[in-house]
Amino acid sequence: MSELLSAPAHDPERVVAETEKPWQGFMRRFAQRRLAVFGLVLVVLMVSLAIFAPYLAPHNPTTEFPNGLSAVGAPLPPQWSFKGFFLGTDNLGRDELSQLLYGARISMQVGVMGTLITLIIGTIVGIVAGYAGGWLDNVLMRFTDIMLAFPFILFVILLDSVIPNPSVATVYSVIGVLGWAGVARIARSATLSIAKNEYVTAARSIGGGLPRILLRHVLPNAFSPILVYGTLQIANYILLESALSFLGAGVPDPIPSWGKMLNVGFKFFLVDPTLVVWPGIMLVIATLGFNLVGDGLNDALNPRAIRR
Amino acid sequence: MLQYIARRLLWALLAVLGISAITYVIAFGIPSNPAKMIAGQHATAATVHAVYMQMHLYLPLWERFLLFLWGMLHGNFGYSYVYHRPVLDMVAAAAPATMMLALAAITAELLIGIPVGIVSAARKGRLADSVLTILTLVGISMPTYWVGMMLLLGFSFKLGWFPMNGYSALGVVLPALSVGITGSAYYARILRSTMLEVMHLDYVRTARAKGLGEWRVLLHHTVRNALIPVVTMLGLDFSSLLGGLIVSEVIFGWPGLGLLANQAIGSLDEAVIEGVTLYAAIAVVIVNLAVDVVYAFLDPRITYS
Repeated sequence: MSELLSAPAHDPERVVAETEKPWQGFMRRFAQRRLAVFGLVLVVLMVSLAIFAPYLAPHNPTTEFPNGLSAVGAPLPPQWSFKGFFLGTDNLGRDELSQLLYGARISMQVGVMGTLITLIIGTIVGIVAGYAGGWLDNVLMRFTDIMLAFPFILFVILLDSVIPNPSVATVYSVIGVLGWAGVARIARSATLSIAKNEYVTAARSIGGGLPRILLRHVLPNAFSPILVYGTLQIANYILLESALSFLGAGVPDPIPSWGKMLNVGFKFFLVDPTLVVWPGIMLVIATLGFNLVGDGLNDALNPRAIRR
Repeated sequence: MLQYIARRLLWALLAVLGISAITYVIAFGIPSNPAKMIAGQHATAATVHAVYMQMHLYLPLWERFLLFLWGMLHGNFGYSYVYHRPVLDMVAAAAPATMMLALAAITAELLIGIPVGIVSAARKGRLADSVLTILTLVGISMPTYWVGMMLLLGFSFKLGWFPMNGYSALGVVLPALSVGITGSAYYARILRSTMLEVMHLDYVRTARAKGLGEWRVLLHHTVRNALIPVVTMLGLDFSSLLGGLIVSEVIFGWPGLGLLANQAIGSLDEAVIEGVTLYAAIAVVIVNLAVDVVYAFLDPRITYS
């Protein structure tokens, strides 16, 4: 009898689940996924490169070195001398490695800031629509559908093109302000399932005001799908910024960005393919990092999903 | 059913109206001097004034918008002062190339995504599943246009199998493949997860019980039903597919909307940027409408109230 009662306690999963706090369980499940941890390493690497770019870069990324061009004015191949151009130069004699390092700043900035703006707008729209229901829900969601019909990159190019004197902040604001539709849908469906719970009814019955219910009860419970979406969105926005800059609608000159480096490199890529290979690899590493972390978060935040 | 289609049609019309309004407000409501933007940087004062009068910029925004809609109904999508051509002509000349590329790209996505999804569902948790999962993740994480450059470098420049650029039957292969490599992962994932769900249903067990081989069960009984969400995804994904093609076209010199938009960005041709955006969004609404209607005929289980 006593054996029967104590049997479940021998289940290691169960013991762990009873003794650890929720966030510890989350950390454990995240750490168990090797790919997710690998992704986190890539993200930390990219963020460090962005932060420490001024100390790591051998040259000023925007300086057009007279000795950075060959006698016929072509980009230089890599030179392994002291203070040399370790990855060569581009068509204007700018150091490729320094541009790569400073480019990480733009990618991280646009990815993270754009996503923050998107999450704030999308969460507000989604929670309000899901909680209010009725005609307001209808209007907001139809508007969301319309926003989703625009091919996103064209939409961003359109708004970007009418803003005078664009800066990096312009680029991430435009991306962030136009990109909220996906978050709004996720936040709405999370709100719909949360609002049915008893604790929300209880909060309302003891006289909790609407802002309090939304902030204290609905938002924290809608947080995990939004967080997962946000992490994956950083990856998408990094790719989007590079495409915009490649097309000439992204960050203004002379700020170095991977997309712009690809644009320059593409003009010479049959002569010297390294100019398009390096920025591309940086983009893949950064994007892959955030995608892996997003997937890992998804699995770690929804433990039931793993069992299936 | 008819009622459903009618309602769906009405919603599509409303969406087009909304799309036009948003586009109009961004393109002509935000700039302080829209006439100058449309006329171009090097326009004379007289041209700017002519554009000002022609666009009725002296009227309030909503009245101008109604006139703009009226113009759209009569085929007037604006005028490019950079190329001295109606925007509709330029968009109509470029659109077929993009649509052809879109079809090829969807084919490539499905040709890669469906087998990958089937194999990873069939070998769930095994080596093949892990390898394919990682490969598709890397695929999602690559910029489509960069993949295009790498394909050009390898298959056109080094091997000489495909033309470097140009509008031809052979030239469509590499741009479609670049979209297929980066976009197929979503299809593979959704197919994998629905197949895993379907595999536990009774009728699959019955098929197994009557002694069918494992692969026969998979291909004949599981995949068929798991393909439904893939079809839904095709409609939903069309807008991001168009977006990806925009940049790929530039790499491959494909004379579609992307190349047109790229030229317009370079020459600050606001009227063309606005026209391409408007056209693409309306195309997305029409494709989604078509997918929904076709769907209503295909799947008898869906009821419409």
